[in-house]
Amino acid sequence: MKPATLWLLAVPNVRASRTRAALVAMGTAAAGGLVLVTLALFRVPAFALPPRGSTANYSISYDPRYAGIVTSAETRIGVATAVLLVAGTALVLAWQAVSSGSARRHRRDQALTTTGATPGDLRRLGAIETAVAGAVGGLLAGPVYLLLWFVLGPAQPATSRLLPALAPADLIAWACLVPASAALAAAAGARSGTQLHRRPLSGWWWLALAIVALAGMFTLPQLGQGDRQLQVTLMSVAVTLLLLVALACGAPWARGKASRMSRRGRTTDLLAGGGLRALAGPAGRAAGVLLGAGLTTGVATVILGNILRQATDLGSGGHLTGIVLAAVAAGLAALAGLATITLAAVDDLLTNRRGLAAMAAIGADLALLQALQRRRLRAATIAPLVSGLLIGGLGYGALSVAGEPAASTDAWPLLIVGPAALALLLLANAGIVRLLRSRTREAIDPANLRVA
Amino acid sequence: MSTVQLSGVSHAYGRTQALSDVSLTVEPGEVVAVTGPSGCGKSTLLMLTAGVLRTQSGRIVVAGTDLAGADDAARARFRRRAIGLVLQFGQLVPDLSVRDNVALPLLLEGHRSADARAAADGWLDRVGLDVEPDTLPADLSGGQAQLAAGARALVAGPQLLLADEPTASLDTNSGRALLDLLVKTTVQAGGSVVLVSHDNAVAARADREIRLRRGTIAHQVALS
Amino acid sequence: MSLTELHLALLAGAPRHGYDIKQEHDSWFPDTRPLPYGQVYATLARLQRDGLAEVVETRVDGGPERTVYALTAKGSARLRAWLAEPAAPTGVGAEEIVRKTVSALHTGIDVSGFVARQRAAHLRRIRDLQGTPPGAGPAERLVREHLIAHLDADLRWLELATELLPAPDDQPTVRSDERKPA
Ligand SMILES: Nc1ncnc2c1ncn2[C@@H]1O[C@H](COP(=O)(O)OP(=O)(O)OP(=O)(O)O)[C@@H](O)[C@H]1O
Ligand SMILES: [Mg+2]
Repeated sequence: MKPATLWLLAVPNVRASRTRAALVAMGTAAAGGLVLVTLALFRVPAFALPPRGSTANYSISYDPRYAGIVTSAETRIGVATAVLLVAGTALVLAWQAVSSGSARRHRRDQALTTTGATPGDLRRLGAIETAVAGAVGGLLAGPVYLLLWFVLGPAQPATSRLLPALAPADLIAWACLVPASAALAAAAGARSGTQLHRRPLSGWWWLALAIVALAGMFTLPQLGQGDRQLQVTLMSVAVTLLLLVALACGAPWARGKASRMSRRGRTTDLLAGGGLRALAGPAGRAAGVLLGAGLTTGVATVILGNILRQATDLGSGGHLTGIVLAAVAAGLAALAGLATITLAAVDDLLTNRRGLAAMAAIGADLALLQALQRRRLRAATIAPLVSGLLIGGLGYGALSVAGEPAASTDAWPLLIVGPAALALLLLANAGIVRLLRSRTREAIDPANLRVA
Repeated sequence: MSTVQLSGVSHAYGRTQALSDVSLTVEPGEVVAVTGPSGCGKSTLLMLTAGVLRTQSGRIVVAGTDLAGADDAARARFRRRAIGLVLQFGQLVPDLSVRDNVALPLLLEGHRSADARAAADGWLDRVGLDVEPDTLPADLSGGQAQLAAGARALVAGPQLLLADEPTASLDTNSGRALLDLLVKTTVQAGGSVVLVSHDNAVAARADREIRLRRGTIAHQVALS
Repeated sequence: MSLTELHLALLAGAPRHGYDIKQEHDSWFPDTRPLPYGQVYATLARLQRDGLAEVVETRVDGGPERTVYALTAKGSARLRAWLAEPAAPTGVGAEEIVRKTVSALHTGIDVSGFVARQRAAHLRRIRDLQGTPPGAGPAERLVREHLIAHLDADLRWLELATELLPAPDDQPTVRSDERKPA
């Protein structure tokens, strides 16, 4: 197919799904901005703490121009990892946007195939449609970075600043980011344009992977005993690994949960189970993201408890910045996760109109369908968040006590933060159901029963 | 009292007048066929009677419920309670297994799911649908889906069975068998049946034919 | 034999002479055996003898002498009575339903009533045939299904006919002095 033809075919679809393009651009812009932040973080002059047991003077590492967590080489790695993980969730959202509206594209692709388009043509078509959005996202990453730079830099008191002054390096990084994000988006678009039928890995494989990742999470940091910087790096790698596995395990987990719900006795569970199975992919990704958010929040909460106990400690100021950052990151990640599943639900309402209308014709009213949506959202989000909170909080508590016999840890803030996070999540779920209300009403319109 | 009572019913979709001033009744135990050329308003009539479409003008009383005065939720409850519905197109819920699709009316009525599923299995057997009950609708043939829809319409023992082209995608023999089951089961329990069809062999199963033409009743004749 | 009534229907539109009637017949039923002249004149003579038609004019315009016939009130009543009865739902070898339908549509005499009666007759027959008596073997069922299929074909054709050949709205086919008040 000639480029001109591809363009001709791509334009109407881009125009018809402007929301999709906008969401892809937004997701990429957010992720890009965060990547630029990460790169800038490493321009902050940092000091490595003296190895444990050394008697060297502690106060060298104090730089009045920046927050403590970025001037210390090891915690900086942690901060960078956290920022990158948030960037990752923004990409998860962008990926969801790329694959939204797939039913309509699939129909078009089928029509094109029957008129002679090759799979390669379809891939290129899919790539073009998202590449533009990706490039726009890359361009927007610049302003996003400027905003973040302002918020994390000049807007803060000197001792809480995280980012250095703007430099030509930022510009170079941005210039590289634009083609990179366009290419990434194109690859994603091409993938969504092929009807890949990969055989899903069996549950045992996933279990094995999760065990390996968990083991890695505990053993990797042990390897770095003595060298704190290496230890933090390994810890970051382990956390990232764990979250990637969580993300990848999400879909099989959601499918498993769906079939357990379908087997269960209660009618709402049974009916919502089918809907969850249909959304297993995005629901699983959202679950993975929420698990990460829960872990972060759990760890941060216990650290907060420890700090509050030793309120007189000198380093607490820097730690507080870190905790606030962690909380913001967790909140953003949770939002991205919820946005992912909302996007998928909207898509489902559009493609599954006839099924819903049929269900309504049999006698299900709007309230019942909304109850099913709520049940499905809760099934996908609550367990991951709560287990994240518990694993993160209690796990970190246990770890921090383990090394030092005299130490103790304070997990009590979990009792406040946990229920608060849960309440926020329930509120968000209710909000999503409310947001979907008018679309659900449209979906059950009897007119949707007409077409074959 | 008549099971179905329509008087002066009209229905328009935007500027398309699908039905104008239709009046008819269906008695308990009666089987009525609604026939007529494509686009004459048969499905519209059926959906109005089922309370799927909101009454625009005229009076519709079905199984003692005045549908004109009922809101969406009330009509949904009415359908669960009194109506068995076989629709013309894609009527199975794609996310649910065949068994759960058939069990759906009972589930919506609040029956225990084990009971509802057992009943569904029984009806799947009776309509002669020979597939694994956990199959998803996407994996059924058109005719198999129609059998499942028939089973679903019967599972709750409806007072009024409404069927829109219930045999359109079945071969003659299976179509005849399904139709027999739909009609006999409902009538023996004292219910009424309204069949919408292009197929004269289906219409001949009825006690009365109501023929529509361009949204009005062209004729009504007794067949029994 | 419905050929008599068919001639009445052919005469219902306007007074015609024998050649006209043959032409009209052949245009109503193209692709069937053309009506032989001898048959036309024999039938017209019989109609006249029975008081169903009358000679209204004898025309000589250069060619052979032509006698123009018209329906009498009795003839018109006979035609209506014929159309008021549906054709027997025999299914096979059913020329009668074709004659009646074409006549009804061309003359416009109570078309919707005719269609209703014909459908009812056919549907009832299908219904009877569907109720296979207990103890009937597959052979009997097969014969019945054959008939059902043909009756179904008749009804489909009837439906098509009413779509393709919409009846004239008013009924100009019967002479005005014979037109019944609606
Ligand atoms: N949702 C709708 N929006 C607009 N027009 C509609 C809608 N539903 C039906 N119509 C129109 O109303 C008329 C009657 O439609 P209906 O579906 O009742 O016909 P039908 O008799 O069931 O036809 P068929 O035998 O083809 O199923 C048609 O002209 C159709 O185009
Ligand atoms: Mg219809």
